[in-house]
Amino acid sequence: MSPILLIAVPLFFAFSVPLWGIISKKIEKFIPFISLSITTAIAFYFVPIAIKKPIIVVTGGFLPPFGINLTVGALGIFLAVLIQVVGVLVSIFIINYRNPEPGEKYYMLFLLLIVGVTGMVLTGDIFNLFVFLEITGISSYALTAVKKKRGSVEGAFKYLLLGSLGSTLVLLGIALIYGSLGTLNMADIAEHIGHMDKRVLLTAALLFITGFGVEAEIFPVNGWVPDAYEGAPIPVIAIFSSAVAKAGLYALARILYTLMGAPGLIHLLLVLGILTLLIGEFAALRQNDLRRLLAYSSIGQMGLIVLAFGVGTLGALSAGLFQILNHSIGKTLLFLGLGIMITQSGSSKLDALSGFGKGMPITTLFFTVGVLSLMGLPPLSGFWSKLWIILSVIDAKYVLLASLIFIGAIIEAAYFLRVLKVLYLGSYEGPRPRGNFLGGLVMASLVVILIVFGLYPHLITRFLVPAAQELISRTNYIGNVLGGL
Amino acid sequence: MYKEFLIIYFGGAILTYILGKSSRFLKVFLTLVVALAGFIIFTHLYGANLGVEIGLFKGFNIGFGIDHLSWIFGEIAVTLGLLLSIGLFSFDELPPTFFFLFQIVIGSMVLIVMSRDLVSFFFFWETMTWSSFFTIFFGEWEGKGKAAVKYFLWSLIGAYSILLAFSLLYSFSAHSLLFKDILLFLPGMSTTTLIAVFTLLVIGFGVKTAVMPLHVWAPPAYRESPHPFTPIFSGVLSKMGIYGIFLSLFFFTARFSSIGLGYLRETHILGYILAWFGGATAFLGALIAIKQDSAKKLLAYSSISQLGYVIFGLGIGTSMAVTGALFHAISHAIFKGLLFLAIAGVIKRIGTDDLTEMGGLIKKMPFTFVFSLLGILALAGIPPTIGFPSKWLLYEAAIERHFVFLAAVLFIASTTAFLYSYKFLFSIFLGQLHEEHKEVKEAPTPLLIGEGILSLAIVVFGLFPGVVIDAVTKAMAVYKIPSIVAYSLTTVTTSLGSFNALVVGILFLIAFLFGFVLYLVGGRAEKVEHLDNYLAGEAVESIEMHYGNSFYQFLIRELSIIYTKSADEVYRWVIDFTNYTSEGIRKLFLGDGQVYLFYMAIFLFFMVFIMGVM
Repeated sequence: MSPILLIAVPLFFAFSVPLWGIISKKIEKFIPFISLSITTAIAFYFVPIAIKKPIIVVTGGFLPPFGINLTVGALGIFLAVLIQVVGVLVSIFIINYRNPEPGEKYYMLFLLLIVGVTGMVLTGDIFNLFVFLEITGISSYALTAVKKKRGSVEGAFKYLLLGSLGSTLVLLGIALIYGSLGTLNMADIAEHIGHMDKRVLLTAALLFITGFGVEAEIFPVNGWVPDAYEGAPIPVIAIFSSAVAKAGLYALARILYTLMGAPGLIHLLLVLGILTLLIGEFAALRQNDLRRLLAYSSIGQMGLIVLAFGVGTLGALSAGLFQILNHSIGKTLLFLGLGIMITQSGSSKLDALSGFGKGMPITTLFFTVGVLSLMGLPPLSGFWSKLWIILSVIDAKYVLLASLIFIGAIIEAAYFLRVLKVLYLGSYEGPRPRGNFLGGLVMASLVVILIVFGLYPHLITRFLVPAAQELISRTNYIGNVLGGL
Repeated sequence: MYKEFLIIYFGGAILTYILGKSSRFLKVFLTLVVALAGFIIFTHLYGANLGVEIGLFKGFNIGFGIDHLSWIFGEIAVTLGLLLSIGLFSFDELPPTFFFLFQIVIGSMVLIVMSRDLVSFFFFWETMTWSSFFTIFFGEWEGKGKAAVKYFLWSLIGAYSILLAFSLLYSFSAHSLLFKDILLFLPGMSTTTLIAVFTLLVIGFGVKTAVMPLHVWAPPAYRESPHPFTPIFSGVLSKMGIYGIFLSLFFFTARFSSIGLGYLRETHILGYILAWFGGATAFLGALIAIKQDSAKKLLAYSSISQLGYVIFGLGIGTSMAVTGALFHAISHAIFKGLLFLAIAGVIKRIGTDDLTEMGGLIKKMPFTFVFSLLGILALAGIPPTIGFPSKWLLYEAAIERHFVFLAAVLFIASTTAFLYSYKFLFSIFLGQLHEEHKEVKEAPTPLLIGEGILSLAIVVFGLFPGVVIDAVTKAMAVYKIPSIVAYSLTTVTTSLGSFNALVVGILFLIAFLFGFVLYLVGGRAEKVEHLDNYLAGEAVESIEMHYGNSFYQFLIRELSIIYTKSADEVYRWVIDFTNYTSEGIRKLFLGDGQVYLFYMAIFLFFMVFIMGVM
């Protein structure tokens, strides 16, 4: 078995959606679930193998830069598993969620989005990275507009503008590197990066930061986020926040750390991270539309992760990866919970959700768990990652930065508590809600993940530390990959 | 040994939550069983010197243990937890979630005091915070949402202060989280770091203790929390802050041994400053308490004020002061637990905590009155109650070191305490019984049981202060604070003097009996209407006379600055500024596509420019 299946299987299912539709329109909506449960199983299968030694895959016959070239190490497989797990849970959720019509396009694009994101975290070739970034981007733009409402199209247009310019910048960066070194393989680039002209290298790094920053929701290139989150269907936003943003950041970190050997430029991420964090949280504070509020909160959380990546110590990187996991799980939980509530209330305005703690007690309870985890409260998983980030940031002597993180965290608490207050203490008016069994099941599994990792953090940190190690120990990476070719 | 408590309290909480939906009785009964089990096991740990270490994950080793100090604070938590869970039988209309949270709060406090490392301390600290936050949602009154959010935000400010200090300690202790290792690295830290650590810790723990000016959350939170839960807030949660401040003084900074700022009569400058914060809190808290018409808010400000005494004692830091402070922390837990239980019973019966709407309830609630009286006596520091020896030690500590101004502030605060104590007692129980309260019954028995036991403790420990001082002395010995207070079961002797609580108690009893006999044999009393009493027989149609009306008007007028200015105003300004900033930043995201492209272009240009400069 080859990790290429992680890409090939959903790709196959994605393009076969219309064919299944010929047999029965009802099968269509199960396709993402079937496809992603297969890839989830495959991804888990590769975990022990990839942790030991990176798996190198070169698709036969095609020399780079053509063909698909994968390098699946500890970090790649960690993110791939995370994406598949979130993906499969969301795909269960969409089975009986009111999905936009026509279904076939939606399911196809959904799977393509997962393909793109998974490809980004697994590839070992910088041009492949660009191709997968484009797949991710194009399916994202289309998915944002899939509802065909004015707001959705507007959000998609803004996303398209920034996203396409971003990927052009990435392509420019790749061209600069290829022009200097004549290779596109990541390990090869990493080995010879010393030969590159410093100014060209830094220019490329800046282009990558700006380009990938669009997907990673880094300020100031994240203008698309609130509008796109407002316009896109809820399950898609969950993927945006939990997978697309994370993949963008992964690509940036991979290039800056493994390829370029963490130039001094890395500390730029500290500044960008704290700016993104504070701006995201401040923007969310007075927001009354829960979709936008969660979008800003997502920006804030991404800021925290970017900041952890900017610190650059092993502890900070591991903590950052842990935060990636927690934010993905927690935000997915929140978005899906919001989705269930919206089907009842018809609006994502906070006022419309007043008293849902009484009307939909279980959904609201799960939503609350997600909120508490994002706020970093024990015994939930988010506690450990936030704690670990703070410890690492202060350990690296960035005390002022830690204080700014705290300001962001307090503002985050302020708006989340406002939401909880309305949910629990508002008066509930409305009909008795219909249960959403599948939705509840998905939310429950996300809650279980948060609690299990909250109580037994060592279950996951075992994988995080090697993953972070892979990012910074370049010689190992180069040796493993070039030795394996 | 920490596992027992995890299983009992957290397992019990989940069990109560699941089974609690089936029966009202079952959920309270389970809570009681859990509280009883926790109480018995924890009490048996007295004198134990246990410790375990657990490897959590890479580089994170945590430990649990217990010593005499943590036993005292844990015992406060389990005892009040037990007494309250008896009282909860009369509040079984609260949903199972409340009982779940109740057990989580108690359990996390027990585990806080047993934590022997930074991470588990903080873990359970945060658990305590969110669980107590959600209990406020089950309050009866309108303002609960606002009060709860305010409480949580302040707690987070505190928690992050603590976390910042802990992270600083961690970064200097060769990446060990264990308390015992940190101690080894303290001498190597710079003065600036230690001052920062100390300040942050005191701010962090000061929020929970509600030391001024970090107290603004406390009165609303105390008032709005469910009535049977308020004793936990005032009695135990605030003591966790005291426990933390004790640790920050005598453990995390090792009595300022490495901070060379100088001493004032053997009190370190930082301790002296802290003592002034305590003194000011005691003074202002008492003054503001006078003005309160809400019984729970009055007790809340009183709680703030009383804990100011404790902070004062810890700040002075001499062995007499610390003995007094810890003693007073114990007294405060007992009498404030009692008073909040009593007011819970009153509110249960008449549905309001507005003092001006009460009066004359002594005839309807004689037991509640007697218990409240004992609580108030202890609060005012009158022998033979537990409040006397603790305050006596604190005053002596101030006098011993010639801190005259501080002593004066404390004396004034104490006198003021008489005023609000009297207002509390008189407004509720004496005076005119309101028409609509003619049918009111005595407070529910489950509450009275708890009040009775606490009243007994007030008298017993008041007569035999040696018991408490013995426990406190042992606790201080753990942190190498020598004791110069000599004590036997009934006597306490310091360098300045000594008193025999039993003798004093007997004298007070004789005096009381004398007065009682006078009352019995004295002039014949004629029963008249209350209004006749007030109005000397003048015929007025209807008039609302209440003791609490215009209470100490002159004081409130003369000291209007205290009553009109509030720390809230400063914080209001911060909040307004934050909201203003938020509005501004939100505008960044209201642009169209071109604006965002413009951001990107500027960003790229800016970065290239910076790179060129570098």
